[in-house]
Amino acid sequence: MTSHSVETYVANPVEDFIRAESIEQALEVRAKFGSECYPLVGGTDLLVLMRAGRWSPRVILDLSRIPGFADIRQTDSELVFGAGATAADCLANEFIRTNFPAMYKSCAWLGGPQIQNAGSLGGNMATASPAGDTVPCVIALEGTVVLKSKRGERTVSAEEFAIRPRKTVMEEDELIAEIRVPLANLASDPRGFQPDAMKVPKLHTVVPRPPFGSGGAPDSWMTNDFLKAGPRLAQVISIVSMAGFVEMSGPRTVKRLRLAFGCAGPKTMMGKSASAVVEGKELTEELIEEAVRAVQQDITPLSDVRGTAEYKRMLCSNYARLFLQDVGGFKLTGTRKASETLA
Amino acid sequence: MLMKNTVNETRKPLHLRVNGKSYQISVPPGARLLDVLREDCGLTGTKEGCGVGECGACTVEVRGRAMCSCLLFAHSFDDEEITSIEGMAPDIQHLHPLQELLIEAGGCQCGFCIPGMLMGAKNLLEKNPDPTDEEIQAGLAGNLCRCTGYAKIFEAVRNAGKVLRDEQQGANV
Repeated sequence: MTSHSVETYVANPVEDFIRAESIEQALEVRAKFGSECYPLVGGTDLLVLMRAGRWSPRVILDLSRIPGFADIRQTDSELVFGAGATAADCLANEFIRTNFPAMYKSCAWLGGPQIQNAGSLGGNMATASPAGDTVPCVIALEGTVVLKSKRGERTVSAEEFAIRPRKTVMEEDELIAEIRVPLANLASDPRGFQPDAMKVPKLHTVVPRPPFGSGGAPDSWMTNDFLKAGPRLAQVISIVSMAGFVEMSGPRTVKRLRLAFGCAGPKTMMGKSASAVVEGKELTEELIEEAVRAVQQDITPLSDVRGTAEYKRMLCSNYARLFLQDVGGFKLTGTRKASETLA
Repeated sequence: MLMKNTVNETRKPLHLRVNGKSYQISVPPGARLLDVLREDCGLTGTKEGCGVGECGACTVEVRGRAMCSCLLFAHSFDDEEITSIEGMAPDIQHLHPLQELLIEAGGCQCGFCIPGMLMGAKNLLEKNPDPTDEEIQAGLAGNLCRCTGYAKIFEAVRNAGKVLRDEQQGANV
């Protein structure tokens, strides 16, 4: 049954499809074809673009079969994601579930199960969409991207990796080999998690955690979380997302705060002004409100089909408030109206 | 880069094993797995709904996982095993418990989403044989049905989970 005309297939001008069986072979192909070759693992993005007539690579380079390319492992100092690790791989990883709830949540509501089974962290990073949900999680925890080419290997901070949508610092002959996150930023939250509550995590609020026990908070602790807004829970592109990471030196004293916002600018935007407000200080409800207002200086969302700029600004501040209230053990006051947040 | 209006005539040989049967074919390098299953293998149970990975009607099982065949390139799976909806029932006399119980629950109306829904549900029950209602919702979040309102489909998944668990227990005794 091979007598069909080419019109049977969705029209595309792809000239060759190369399934690499080793990273060396993939780097050869990349060096030979440069920007004319499109590397992929899941292909969840490319076929949508091709169908819409927005992209037409000459050569497709499939990385999904390279041995070890999807492994998630730990070294002495880092959690290492092979670039081919899928969202489903992250969800199946017990260490991520207990110590990296931000990543777990972002993967749990990334598309539906079929997309989670196919789409990779490397692809999410390389696509450089401000709406890529796993990207703020890596950036908030000071992750890095390991790039390989025939010329060698280099490591770039994830924060510096994307320049604007679909434009990154990656050279034409390079591939993302790994994404790394320092283990020092992944100590488990001493408040502990309720694993059952994480099975189907709620998106628009913090991970449920019990308060500190009778011993109180340790001198030094840290936590991370991810919040996302969408018109429904699954299968949606974020209206806004936020990954938060905090290192504390006392029950309410912030040592370091990193807020990474998705869909709030041309790339993942860092809430540096909010960090400056709270770092070295003890969280109070007033200080949190000051930080929440400072978030507005660091984001530049645009109005689009998914929401107005004002709505996105409101969400960013609300998410910063929720995260900081949870960290400080304050009552979660939830969302506020735009008029209160942006005043 | 805008797509040119030309269609490349190049073809590349491809060997697929679908539902245990071998297919030696020749298809364009950029062909989607969905089109190859339907047009070259003649397996039209797999449906195209949205074509962008949102509706799940084209769900098949590759590498042990459910994926949207509209977002996969056929050449990714050279010499690999693929299970489509046609491979779900063990033989012509016996349906899979999910199929049986979906009919019993009345979970099938127009039927267009059902092949993908069943593949998605199979994927869900293999990972989690005793899902809560919330987990069923999350597990089938990638499959859209515009007829049923999902209640009967979820009922079928719950019941099938029970049958499969009982079968498993029977096998272990």
